[in-house]
Amino acid sequence: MVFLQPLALLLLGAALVPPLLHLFERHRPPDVVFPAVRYLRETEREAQRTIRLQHLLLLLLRVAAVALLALAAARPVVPARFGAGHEPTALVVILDHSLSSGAVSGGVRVFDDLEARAAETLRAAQPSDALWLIGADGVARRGSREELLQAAAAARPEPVRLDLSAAVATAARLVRASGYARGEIHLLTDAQRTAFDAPDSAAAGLPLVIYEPAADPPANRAVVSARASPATWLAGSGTVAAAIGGAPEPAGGRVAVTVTLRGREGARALVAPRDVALLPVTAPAAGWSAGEVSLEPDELRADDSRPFAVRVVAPAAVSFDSAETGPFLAVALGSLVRAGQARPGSAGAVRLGDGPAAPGGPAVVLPPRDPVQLGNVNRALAAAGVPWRFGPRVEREDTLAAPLVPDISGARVTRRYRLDVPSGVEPAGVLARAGGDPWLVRAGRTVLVGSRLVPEETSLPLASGFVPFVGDLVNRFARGEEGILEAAPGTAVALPDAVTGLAAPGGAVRRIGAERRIAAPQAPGVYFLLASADTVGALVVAPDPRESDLRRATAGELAGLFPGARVSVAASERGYAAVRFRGAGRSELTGWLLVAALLVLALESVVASGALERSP
Amino acid sequence: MASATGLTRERLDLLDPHEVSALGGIELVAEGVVEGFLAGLHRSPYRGFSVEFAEHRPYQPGDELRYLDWKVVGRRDRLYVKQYEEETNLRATLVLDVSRSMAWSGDPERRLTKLDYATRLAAAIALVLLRQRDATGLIGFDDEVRCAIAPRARPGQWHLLARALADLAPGGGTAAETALARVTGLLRRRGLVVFISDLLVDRDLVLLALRYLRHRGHQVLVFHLMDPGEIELDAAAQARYVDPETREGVVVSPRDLRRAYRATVDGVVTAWRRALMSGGIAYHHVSTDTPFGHALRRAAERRARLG
Repeated sequence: MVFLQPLALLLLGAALVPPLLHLFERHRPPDVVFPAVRYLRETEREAQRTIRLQHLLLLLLRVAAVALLALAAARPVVPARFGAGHEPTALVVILDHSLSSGAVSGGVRVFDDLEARAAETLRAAQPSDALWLIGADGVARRGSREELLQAAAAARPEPVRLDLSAAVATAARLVRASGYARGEIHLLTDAQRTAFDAPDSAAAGLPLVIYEPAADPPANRAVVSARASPATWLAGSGTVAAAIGGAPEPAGGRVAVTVTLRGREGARALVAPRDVALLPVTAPAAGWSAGEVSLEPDELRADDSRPFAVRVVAPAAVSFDSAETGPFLAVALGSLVRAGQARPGSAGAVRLGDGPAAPGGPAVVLPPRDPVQLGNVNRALAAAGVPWRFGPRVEREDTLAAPLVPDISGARVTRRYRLDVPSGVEPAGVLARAGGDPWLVRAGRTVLVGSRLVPEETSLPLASGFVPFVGDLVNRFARGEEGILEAAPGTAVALPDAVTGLAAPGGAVRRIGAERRIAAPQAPGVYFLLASADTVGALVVAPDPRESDLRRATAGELAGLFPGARVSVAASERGYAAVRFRGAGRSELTGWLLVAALLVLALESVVASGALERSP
Repeated sequence: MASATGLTRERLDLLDPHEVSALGGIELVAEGVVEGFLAGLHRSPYRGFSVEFAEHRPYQPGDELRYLDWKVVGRRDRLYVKQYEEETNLRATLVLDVSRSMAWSGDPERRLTKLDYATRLAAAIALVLLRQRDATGLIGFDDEVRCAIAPRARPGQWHLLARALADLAPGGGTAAETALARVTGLLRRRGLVVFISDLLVDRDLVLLALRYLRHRGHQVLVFHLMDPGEIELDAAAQARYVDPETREGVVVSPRDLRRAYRATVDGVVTAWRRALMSGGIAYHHVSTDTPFGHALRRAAERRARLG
């Protein structure tokens, strides 16, 4: 409590006046002749106790009245929870209706609890407040109280992940930019540990009220990963690798996993949580297929199944000269041939070497062993209609970044040729970069690699993903296939240049224009990538596996995630109501004190008039 | 007031006692009050016209027409009524408290002292009684008997009583039991005792004396006089209230005690009434702002019961 006029507290000394007057009043009263003194004496004897109590009560009331008036003059100010309202506040409510909020905990859906708290807070807002609501998509929406109440009521658990650290940072920016002297951020969440990033001081100095449900989270199990292995199946059969996540089962507990492909149920297996199940599946006819790996239902249904995509093809025919490819690539190709994922061939075969194939034919072009031949190779590429060229030699250690080719991401490159296109030509078809420069590109059915696949130039031949990468080169990239993309609902995804449409699981086709980065669809499933009428790849939209880990951050951990912020963590409706707007405003108690003083004075006059006098 | 009869048009018995007393001395006021009182009676409560003719007197408003002497009216063309000598054994004694506590008024500018009220009331009662040929006497007392006039019905008794009442001055304390003992000696034949006091006395002793009188066959009528200022505490400031007789004091704040005091007074009045009436003694609580006629009516009613 603070006082706006602290000097007025000196008036509290006036509270001594009533007792002093009371004492002076006892001194030498005047004599009055009165015959019926005996009646007075009798009355006083019977009413003496009442009179003393009445005098004491009067004295206390008068002291209280003076003290209340003195306090009112000092204009005390207290936190808003003691007053009728709060100062105008910039209020940001973050309603976490991500996938995990659909879990049922303690018989109640977590989201329903969070939505009720959000509605309470919005209803407590005043017209003078600035209000925002941040939902699971992380977008801040400003609106009136009624508009945001409607938005909160319309929200439902969605199969997306909300980065709570980023949401709080966004809220903090909004509060700071609002121009309001007071601000408050309310984070209504199930407080998953995985929903937070590293500690962020963006909200330093601001009140951050975090509400989390009191009930413990359920023991959730989820399919956190489902992929065809390998990504392209040869005719016959294939395998689906499914990773099971969530809370560990009790000792010896396993969960039943089922794989379904093209609507037909395939293999079943019992898998321990945190293990990976390899589920054999009979390959359907050649072409693209969508499937699903599922578990028995539990308290969080949205992560009990996960889609996957697979393409079934005939093994690619390859032709190569080991003198051009080097020994490592030759060995890898030999392994593929032996595994039945490639076959030796000539007509229509994928040519691997330092030159393009016959016009229109598939080829993987490597830099020539002799740099002198580089000009010939570039001329041959130009003759084949390939816009890419081998540019200057770069000898520098770089790391490969290949979102479309996960097997080679992170590999080191020490020597390479920069891959260029003539000026005025759009550099399309980049599959991987090294040091920011294109390193693996594709133009039609011709693939260019910036380095020879030997340990002197890249660590890739020594990596475990080398053989699968080579398999992708001959079975996917050289065949014009775009591969399988994975994305969480709503996240940004970069589409290959050739893609012109997106076919939803129900068959609806969304046309893709010039934009290459789109937001992944919200509904999980397999979306096929179309190039004109051809299916060239698939986009598998599945929930972020971090949403399946329902373990919560403790109050201490939450406070530590937002250093400098005034964090209040509430786990009950009452506790949350108690901290709501506590740091956002203050109220002046002058009015209340004046009302109290008036009431005390009214009571004093009632007592003084004898209304409370005991009737004998 | 040129004459008592001239004031009868105003019904002095119903006017404010203080205003009435300002019109003249006790004798004159008493006559005016009694004239008004008698004029207001629809039926006379006593039988002053019943037995043996005594004399004529001029007609006064209030006299019953049946007592008009039409022969005299015919001869003298003036209204006269016949009066009769009533045969009665009634001997009435007015016992008047003249202690110092009686010489008090809560508002001297507007109200009589209790003693002034008592003397005028006693005079009026005496006049009523004497007019019906009752032997009427007077005893004034405080600590001791200050005056004593034996009951007589003879002409001139009224003036004797009136002078005695006018000469009564407030005395000291109150020892009513002594005076009442004297009364028993003065009243050899059974009669009416009218006791007028503020009853600020030793309650048990006075009750004993009054009951003794009743036991002796007397009719006893008690007028308990109180000033309105004694009934209701109307002061506000704290003061030391002093008894004028004992000089004992008590410091009180009337504001604190107002309601409780009123309850105490009501309790005292009730206690007196119950104690006296249980002994067959008539009791009337009279405030000094009550018109004399009201108190007079009580006395007349009591006299009427005696026949």
